Amino acid sequence: MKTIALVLLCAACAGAPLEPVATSPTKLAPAPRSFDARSWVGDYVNAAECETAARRLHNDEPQPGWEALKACVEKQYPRGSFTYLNLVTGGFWDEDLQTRPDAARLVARIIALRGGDVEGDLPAAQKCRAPVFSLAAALRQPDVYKGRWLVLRGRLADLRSEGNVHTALLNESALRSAEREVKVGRRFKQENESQHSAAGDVRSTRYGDAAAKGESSSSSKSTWSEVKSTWDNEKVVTGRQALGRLQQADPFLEPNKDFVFLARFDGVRNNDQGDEVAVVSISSYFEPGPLLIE
Amino acid sequence: MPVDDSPTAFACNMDVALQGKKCTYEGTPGAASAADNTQLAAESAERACGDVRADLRAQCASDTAAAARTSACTLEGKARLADERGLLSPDARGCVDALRAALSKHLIVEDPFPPTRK
Repeated sequence: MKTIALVLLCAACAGAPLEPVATSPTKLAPAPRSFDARSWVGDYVNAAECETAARRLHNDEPQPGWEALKACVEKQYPRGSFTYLNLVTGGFWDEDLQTRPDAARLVARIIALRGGDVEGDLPAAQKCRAPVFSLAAALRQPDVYKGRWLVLRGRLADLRSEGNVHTALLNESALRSAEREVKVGRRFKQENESQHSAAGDVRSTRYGDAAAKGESSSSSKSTWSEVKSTWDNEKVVTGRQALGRLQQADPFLEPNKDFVFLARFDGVRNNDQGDEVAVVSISSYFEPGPLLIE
Repeated sequence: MPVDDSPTAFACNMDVALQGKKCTYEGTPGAASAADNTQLAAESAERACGDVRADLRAQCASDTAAAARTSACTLEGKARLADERGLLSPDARGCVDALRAALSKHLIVEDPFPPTRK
């Protein structure tokens, strides 16, 4: 039985063409290395160092480098959040910001971490041609901006649901600096009060009797102290509105609380007052950081 | 990026607009007949007159029907008030204003605490 099987095998070999035998081991294509940005970012305690390390990584491998930058932005450091928009928009990351689909989210995230001054920070992102735009620009030229990313700061004014369509009415807000005087140093206070009264009684045989009485009182108060001008950031409503489509009604999107939204611009509608309202699809939103970074 | 042209939850239909709710005119403009426009306006206004005090309803219906026949609502047959989905187009704003003006004359709130008879 064994003999028959061997004969059959040799018969099969005889018909097959001869292949050259490899003299060295076959080089296999390297399997794509999965990069764990979350564990990578754990080595850095400083946001600027993290970004520098992400650059180094990007020089060798652009995709892990970009993932590393995103991880740097998301990380909470002992001394605060990632607020270095100037490092990201300084030139090195320009190509990524212009071409990567998640670049708009990264820009919106950094703007929120810096306090949410969209008007102030958006020009820096646009300087390196990152495709993120303002609501004001979109409302002025709707056809030009249709389908593009908007970054806007706003607060929820109303939320309405019709079936599975959920729409938030957003009032755009902005930050303005307002001057305020603050008392510094010692304060002085002076109070004066005086009261005078006089009365007279004259008797004469030739001119008769006369009597006179007079009273006066005065008081004054004054305080003085040194004052210094300080500048505060005030939230103001711009008057521009947007209807934001949501995937679902979101309880974390609290009314009358400011958020930085990343949304796709879908066009313009007229409201019942005849005003133009932008229609956007909200992709994500972030709570602005409490401290404004300039 | 492709855009989403579908209506939002704030889109106006005639009933919502006549209730005075905040809404946006998102219907697709298009051609229609003056008669269709008048019919839509008059029927919606008649429903809205249902909220009016009983003794004023007939007058309300008559006044709003007259408003529905004006050029603000017929649009002289040049455009339609609402699209196939019932959403008001931007051309319908004048008609909504005219109907609401006619309705407002009859919107007298009934006394929520009528005098009790012993």
